[in-house]
Amino acid sequence: MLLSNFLLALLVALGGPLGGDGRGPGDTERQSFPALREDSSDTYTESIPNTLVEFDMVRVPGGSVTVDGKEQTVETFWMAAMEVRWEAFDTYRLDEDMEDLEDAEADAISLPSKPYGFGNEIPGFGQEKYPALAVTRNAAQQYARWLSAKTGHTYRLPTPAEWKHACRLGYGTPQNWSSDRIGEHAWYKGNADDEAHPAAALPPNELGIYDQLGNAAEHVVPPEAGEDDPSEVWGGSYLSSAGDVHCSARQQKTPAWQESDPQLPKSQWWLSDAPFVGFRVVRGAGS
Amino acid sequence: MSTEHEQHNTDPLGGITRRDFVKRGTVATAGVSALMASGNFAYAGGTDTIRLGLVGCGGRGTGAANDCYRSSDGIELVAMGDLFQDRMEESKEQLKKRLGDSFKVTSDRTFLGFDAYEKVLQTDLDLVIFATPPAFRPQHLRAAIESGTNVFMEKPVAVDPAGIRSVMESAEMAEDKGLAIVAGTQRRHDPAYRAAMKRIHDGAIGEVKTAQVYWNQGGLWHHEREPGMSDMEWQVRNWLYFTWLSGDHIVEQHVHNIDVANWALQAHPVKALGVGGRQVRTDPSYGHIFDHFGIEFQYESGARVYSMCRQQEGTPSRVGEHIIGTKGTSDGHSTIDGATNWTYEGEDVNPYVQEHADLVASIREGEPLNEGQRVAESVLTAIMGREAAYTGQEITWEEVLNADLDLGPDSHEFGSLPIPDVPAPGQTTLNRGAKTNASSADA
Repeated sequence: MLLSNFLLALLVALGGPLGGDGRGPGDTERQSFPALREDSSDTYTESIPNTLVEFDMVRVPGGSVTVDGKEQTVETFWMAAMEVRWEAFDTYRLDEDMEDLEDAEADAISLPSKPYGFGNEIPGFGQEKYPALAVTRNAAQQYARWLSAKTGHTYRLPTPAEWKHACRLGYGTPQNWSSDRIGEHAWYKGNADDEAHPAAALPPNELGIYDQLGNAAEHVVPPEAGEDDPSEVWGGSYLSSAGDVHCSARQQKTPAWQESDPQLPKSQWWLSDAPFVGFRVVRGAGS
Repeated sequence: MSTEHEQHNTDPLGGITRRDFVKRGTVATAGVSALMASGNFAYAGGTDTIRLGLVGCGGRGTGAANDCYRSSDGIELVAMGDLFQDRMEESKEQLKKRLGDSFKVTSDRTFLGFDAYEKVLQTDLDLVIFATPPAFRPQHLRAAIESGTNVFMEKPVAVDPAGIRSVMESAEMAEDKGLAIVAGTQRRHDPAYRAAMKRIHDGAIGEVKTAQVYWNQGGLWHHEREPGMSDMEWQVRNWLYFTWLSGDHIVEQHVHNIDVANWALQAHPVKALGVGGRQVRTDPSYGHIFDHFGIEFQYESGARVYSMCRQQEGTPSRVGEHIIGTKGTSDGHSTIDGATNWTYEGEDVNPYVQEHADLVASIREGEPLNEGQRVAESVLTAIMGREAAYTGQEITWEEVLNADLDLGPDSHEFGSLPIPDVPAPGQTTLNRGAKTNASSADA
């Protein structure tokens, strides 16, 4: 494998989940992961085999939530404590050795193209610890399929109902989520300085989930979504005003998200003009 | 916040700053044209048909043809040329979808092969887009100007001094013949850059003393070698990784930012000193180019520009410019800080479309834009930086401009083509002459 040595070198420095407020790509100081909850059965740590990448999953108790005026039941599920970070996404993106995949579907998993840089419209921010940004829904879904094949656990993107329900449990209702408290848990226009920030640099919410509001706006996929339906991201981002960072905040993909992609066809993997878009994975309780 | 931010509040993209949002298909209006040295209206209002040809039907060429069509009324695509059938078919499919009735490419105006450019130019054209790998640009440009065709050409416009000299001659010839040449250094057509540069040239940051310019990113695409592929086909399909085809990534990609430095200083540098190497991307499937460069450019005025570019997987991207004068600093496109503070609050425009709008307007108004000499100087600046790193020597403008260095093979044909060694500072020389086809070499 062409890049194995490089990947190893990249990942040796990481050693699993990192918290704290380390900034900048050169900062490889090991940080201890803040305790999530006393009750450890509410969390588990997933490791991607043959890499040093690990990430924590948090149990989200079931309940009901209203989306688009319809009340929906949400079964208990697991949600990643952090947005997917570059070090995880890159192990997929640069995986030239798919042979250790057991999943029959693995044959159908494709690897992302490599973007021709990010022009002035997309700042790169940083690599280690930073959320993977400017990824299309397709890229996020392919990553989840790859991750499922690698780990044997079925990971996918959250539905809008799951995402919103977890958000409500974690942050409470809008009544106690006011603009003077928003900066405690979320990177948004008021505190982010126009930049994305490393995952888990701000304290987690009540569920032990980081950055669900703000930082990267996160892909959701309705169960019935077709490939041609425009993708949606929820929760607002580091660019959003305080009023646009809440559990029902949604943005629909527009052509503007790829306006300055100079290639035709436009990339299926990268959003040249939407650096505020990222994602996190979930897993059904029984999968 | 700017006024256009307010108008975004009703948009699903609420809360996004101008830097992150580009209006779909917007073309600048007269407010920007006041900045244009040529006095062109940015919107091409004429309706006389412009017959367009496309040579190089990859992703960028296909995108450029669509950008040209979107930029102005009355654009018809009439002929296409490429080396490869597969790229041609994909491009046709994309462009048919987008151009509709303006897609007028018939099978007898579809050409494949190294001579496709000649056949495209033999059809009745007003304007041709060149978006093949850069190696072929000087030859294509010359043929277009000789045949009396206006040109849009992607950067870089050459990969070596021999090519640059040819482009400079062609630019002069275009001047004499009243033909337009616009190059794909689209920042030159971005109203935000134009507004910042006008202020910098008017002294808003005092005298420009230094700048830092960057294009750092991860790796790029490459294609596996399939059984039966000749050296030439494999290299052309992986053109990024061969200096004779791409000029190396400092020339192929970072030229955008180097061009901005020259723009800010209104000059080209007089010498370059640099380092570079091949640290991570060492596998032969990545040809023989470097994966990082660090260059210092010195200008006649004493100004020094520091350039850094990198293509290494897993490293954060940074693409941009930072310009420093005696009274302030600027990012070159949105802000000025110091003695005067300024933020661009004008319209957001897609520069990839705007460059075509400006080009078409200039043709229709009979005042053809000619960016040939200027883009040749910026590409030669990047080549000078590359050669400073390849050779390990300080290279002057005169040395590189006049160097005996022609990297391409004697003839373009599908066959064997040995790969030169990775350059070695202290051993590689600037005047390496011409590379000859070693047709008897092992494939």
